[in-house]
Amino acid sequence: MDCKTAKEYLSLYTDGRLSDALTAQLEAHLLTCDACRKEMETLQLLRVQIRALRITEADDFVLDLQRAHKKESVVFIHRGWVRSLCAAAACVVLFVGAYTAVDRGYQMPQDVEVQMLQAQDDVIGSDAKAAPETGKAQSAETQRNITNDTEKTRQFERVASENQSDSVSRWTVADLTAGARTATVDTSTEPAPAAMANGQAVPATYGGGSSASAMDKRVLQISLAPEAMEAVSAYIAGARLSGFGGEVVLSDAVVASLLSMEGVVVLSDVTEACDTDIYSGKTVIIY
Amino acid sequence: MDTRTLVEKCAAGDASAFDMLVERYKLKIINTAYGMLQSREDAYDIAQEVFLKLYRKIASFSGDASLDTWLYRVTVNACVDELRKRGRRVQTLPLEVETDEESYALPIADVSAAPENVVLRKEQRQVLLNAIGRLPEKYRTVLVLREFEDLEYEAIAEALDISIGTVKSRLNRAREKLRNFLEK
Repeated sequence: MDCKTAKEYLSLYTDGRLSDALTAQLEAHLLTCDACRKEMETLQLLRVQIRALRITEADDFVLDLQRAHKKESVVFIHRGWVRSLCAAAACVVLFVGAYTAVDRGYQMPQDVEVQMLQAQDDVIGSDAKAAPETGKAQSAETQRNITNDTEKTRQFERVASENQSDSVSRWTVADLTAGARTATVDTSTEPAPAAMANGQAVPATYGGGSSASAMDKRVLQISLAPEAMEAVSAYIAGARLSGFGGEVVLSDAVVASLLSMEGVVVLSDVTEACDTDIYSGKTVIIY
Repeated sequence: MDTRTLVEKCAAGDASAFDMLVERYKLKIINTAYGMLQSREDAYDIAQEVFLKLYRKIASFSGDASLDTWLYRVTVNACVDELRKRGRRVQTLPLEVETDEESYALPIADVSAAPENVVLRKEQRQVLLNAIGRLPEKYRTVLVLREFEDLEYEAIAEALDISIGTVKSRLNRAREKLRNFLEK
């Protein structure tokens, strides 16, 4: 066996994967060739040293996993659509909602507001009931008590107004957990809530009609309070959002507010981060 | 309790069974990610993602499927995603690490006893990790699964969906490159 052939076999030999016949030939060569023998010893040493790099304990890992359990959904938010968003002081409660519907000939609203209101303990009230498909804005106030046997009841309210209308839609956590497709709204002119109210899946229309270009977007990761996360998860499950899903666009002020929250981390831009499995299941906010 | 039973219990909603799975697999996943990314922190992040994915998918996990293979595949894919993201913020990993005394390169000598008895100095670890980090992704992946996880060629081939011949050639190439990096 010559040196060139011997070197080809050293890796297999180190792993014990060389046939008996070739092993005998290689070992015979190594007895007479210092260079190849030294190379073989180097490979063996390298192997030992690499294995010495291995992490042998990770007792602190479980806590991190627990934290990850709170991030179960993917939410995409785009700057420019939403004008303001008021976060609760005590509890990080996230918005949800809306989307683009350019493929339906819908003009994306420029003046939508999404508000996050403070979590409350037991009883929530929700406003506004209307059939959006009727074409008439309605402003009837409805008070509804909803209790949850096992958890705190939350208020999770979305307020949206179309740029040419004062009409407002409000969704509560109850709407969302019951299935966003049955959410009640008091505007008749905004297709997005209407589509959901009609039980239609929200189309994945990332970037379609969004005023923000892909280059403008960055990805944030936000830790949510569990109760907020549940609402978001339920909403997303109900709306069948996945991948580039529902969109809400945030103003600079909102983004600044989000960035000030504990747990917000800038990850990367959207173009790669959001279509990979690694971010699937996380709460990811793009703006 | 065997893995298959644990998976079935998880699918039935047994949270403690999932905890046991995490305990059983966490070092495997963390080490794979650590070898791929050379950062313990990043490895933890990847492991969280992998377990979260497992948590969500376990109900649909086929009893015939190999959990090991699935976990390695998902872990490697997550690492590759991370590496590609990093690719845009180009990193240069030094093969020499400045110490208080002098510039230090990994010595290729003094092999002693079993791997568990080998203790690398901090500088040695960093040099070696950096060298692994310089390997092209396809070579690094095979090397990590072989050396960090001690997987047989067949298991590596299955996890990466490549042939055994490809495993052999990539492993050979990975070791050759690594040695060259360290001897320069």
